[in-house]
Amino acid sequence: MKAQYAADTAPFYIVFGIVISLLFLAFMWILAYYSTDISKIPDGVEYDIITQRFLSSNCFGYMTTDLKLPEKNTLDWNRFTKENLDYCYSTTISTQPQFALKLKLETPPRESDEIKTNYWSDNIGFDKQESKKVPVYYEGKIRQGQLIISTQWEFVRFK
Amino acid sequence: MKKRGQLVLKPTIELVIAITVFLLFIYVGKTWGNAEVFQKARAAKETALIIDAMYASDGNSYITYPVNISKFSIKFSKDNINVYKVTPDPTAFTYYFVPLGSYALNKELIKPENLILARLGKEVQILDKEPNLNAVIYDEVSTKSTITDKKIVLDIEQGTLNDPKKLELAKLIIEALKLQIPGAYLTSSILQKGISGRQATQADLLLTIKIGSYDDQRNVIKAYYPIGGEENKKRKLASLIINQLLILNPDGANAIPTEQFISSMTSDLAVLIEIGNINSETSQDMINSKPTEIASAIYNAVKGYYR
Repeated sequence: MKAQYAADTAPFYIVFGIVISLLFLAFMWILAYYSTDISKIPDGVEYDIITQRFLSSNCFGYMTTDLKLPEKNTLDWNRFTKENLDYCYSTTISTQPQFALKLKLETPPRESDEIKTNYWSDNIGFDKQESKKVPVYYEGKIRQGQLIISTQWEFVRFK
Repeated sequence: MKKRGQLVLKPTIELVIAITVFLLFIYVGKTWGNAEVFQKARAAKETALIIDAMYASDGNSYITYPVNISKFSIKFSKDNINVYKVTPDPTAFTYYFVPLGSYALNKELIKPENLILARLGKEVQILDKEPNLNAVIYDEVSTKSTITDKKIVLDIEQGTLNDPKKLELAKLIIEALKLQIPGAYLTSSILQKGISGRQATQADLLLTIKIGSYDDQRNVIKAYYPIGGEENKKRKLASLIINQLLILNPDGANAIPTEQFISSMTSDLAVLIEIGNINSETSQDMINSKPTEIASAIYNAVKGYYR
């Protein structure tokens, strides 16, 4: 008689509860896995939108001294700082795309330090790098420059 | 020996779990079958992209999300958007965007009829009606006080003082302001027996009028406030002034923190109000014909600040 009701003991319910919870989590994970790709953003669109942020006045964009509307897509050499990057690209989790940025001037030849977003990992390198030609405001003049954007995207994007 | 209640406990629990799992499968199957999973994913991804795009653009803007999502609810957090139908929803969809600084949207819309995403100032906001894009946004900080106790000083900016055409227009505004605020003091740069610059720095509020100068025909209004101190309070007053002056329908308006003009803005609370453009006929007509409206708008903003 006692053996027949052994399963009614507390350990049974504890194990049963854990197994059911794990099965439920597995079910949710499988659902999430399939539903992530149910709608797709065309390749490159999200990258273009996110990297455009670096050229805006929220990030490194140049604003005239009387703070008129920013000069479109012109960077300010003095605003190219880690502090500004942390403000305008404030990643809170490591599964968002990460960037390392460097600014170069043609004349006079200048090269900034590389600045990186919060969860950039030096161990895995980049999976994409591009160089954008951008006007740069430097010492009172607008000059030709290059913004070099290294990206950790596929490694980290919403794993 | 087990009691009867204990004997029925196990099958009851099993039955509850079986029903829960059965209903879960039914719900999940239905939401996949009627494409609700897709609609949730699409809404979450598109709104996240819109927010990323707004943070990448300059100036104020808004967009009304063009798809009817009134059968879902949307939760905006610091860095993600969650679209769901019921709580808990096994097919809820979450997508991430990259926030700006420490700003968090933190808003939940339950089955919204409209979804309007607006970039006003630096931040993106979720609204239920279309915003005035020229309106300046500021932090809601308490600045309540008695306005009658305040020493308010009116001044004219140096560049405006040195240009007879500008000075004429600025004086129209100052005279109208003096009528609106009879207890206000004028500085010695306006009135021979006015108070000195040193005394002006001890005022509770220093309002300086400037007439702008641009090569084109833009008719703009700006309110500059000094950097530092309780900056959010200074921004509040500058923003209130701008938002009141929008009745003039300027081509552009903004509240701007600045280190410039600091010499004339050493008072604890000071705003340099730039009105119009000396090279714009529209601006000149506006100031000549509406000095009372301009003064009244500025004083309403000051009253609103202390209210």
